[in-house]
Amino acid sequence: MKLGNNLRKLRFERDEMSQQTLAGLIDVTRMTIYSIEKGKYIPSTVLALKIAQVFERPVEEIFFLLDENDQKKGEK
Amino acid sequence: MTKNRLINIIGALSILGLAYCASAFFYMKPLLTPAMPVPSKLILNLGNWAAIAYLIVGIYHLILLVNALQTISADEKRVFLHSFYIVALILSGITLLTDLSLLTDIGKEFAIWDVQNEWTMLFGFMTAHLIVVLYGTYARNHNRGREQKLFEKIRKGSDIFFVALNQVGFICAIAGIAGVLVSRIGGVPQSFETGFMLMLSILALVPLISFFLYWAIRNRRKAFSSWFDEKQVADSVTGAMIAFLIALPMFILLIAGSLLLPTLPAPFWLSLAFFATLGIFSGVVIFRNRIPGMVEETA
Repeated sequence: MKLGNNLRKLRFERDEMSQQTLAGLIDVTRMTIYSIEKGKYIPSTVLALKIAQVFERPVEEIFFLLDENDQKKGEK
Repeated sequence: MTKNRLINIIGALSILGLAYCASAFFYMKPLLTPAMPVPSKLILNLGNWAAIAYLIVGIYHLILLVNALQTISADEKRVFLHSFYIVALILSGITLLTDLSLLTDIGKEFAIWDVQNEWTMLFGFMTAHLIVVLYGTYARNHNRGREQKLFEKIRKGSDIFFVALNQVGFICAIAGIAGVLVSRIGGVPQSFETGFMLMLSILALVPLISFFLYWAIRNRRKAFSSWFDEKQVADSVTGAMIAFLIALPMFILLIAGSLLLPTLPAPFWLSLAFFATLGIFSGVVIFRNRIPGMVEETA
């Protein structure tokens, strides 16, 4: 199981918000946002809730579980 | 006169000063032998001017260090080179004092002892100072206008500074290992070996300690728990875990090595183990924070 996310899509829907701007709003580094978007880092519950607060969406609309098949489809 | 112009003048004087010192020392070297137990007036005068030149070079090192810290985030693609430059600059600054100590030794001992090794070390250090000063002058002018305030409040766990901190740690680890091996291969007399290795180990750690202090001063108003963001903490934990797992068998090998080669002093093995662990830790953290990938992705 991996954690997928719509962070990149949501950022672009929000006036093409940069990773740096989002990072500044939730008090983390740009590297952390980049790693979350790429699925290389799973955020803590607190951080996930902070991100949800910024985009005014429920957490599960931003983060979702990927099973292995979804992952393979995504890779294709 | 503008500040920039004044600094460039100090830079030019430093380069000229180092060239002057090299010429003066080349002139003195064959003359300062037991055949001339008391230095001539000309040599004393040359020495006094060399002291002034060293003072200017020292001031310029401090100016370059402040500038290097102010411009660390000026070019994300060259952070490693910049970190390497900071380490070289700090070590060069410290070895300016070593030069003075070598010159004092030469001055006291040339009439009785052979001071060839001191001269060789002195010229080696001076070459390093010249390279650092020349690169520093180029880097300062290249990054002009991109300075930030030295201790300005930074965003939580700035990524560039975090990467630079670990790069400095990695370079210090390599410098430490190289220093220990060089002191072993370089034929340092056995009676001085332990002290020499310890001194080199401490010297190799000075840039990392200085950079960490700089990080601490920048974050002085924040609680320690908020110096790093959660991914940086996670990366540090991973780095520590991998370093620990590799360090365990490495320690066993080193203990075996110390039993098989009992002639090597304990600081040799301890320094090797310490710097190798530091290198692995920093290397893992740097690997998990590869900035070029991030830059491409966000471009």
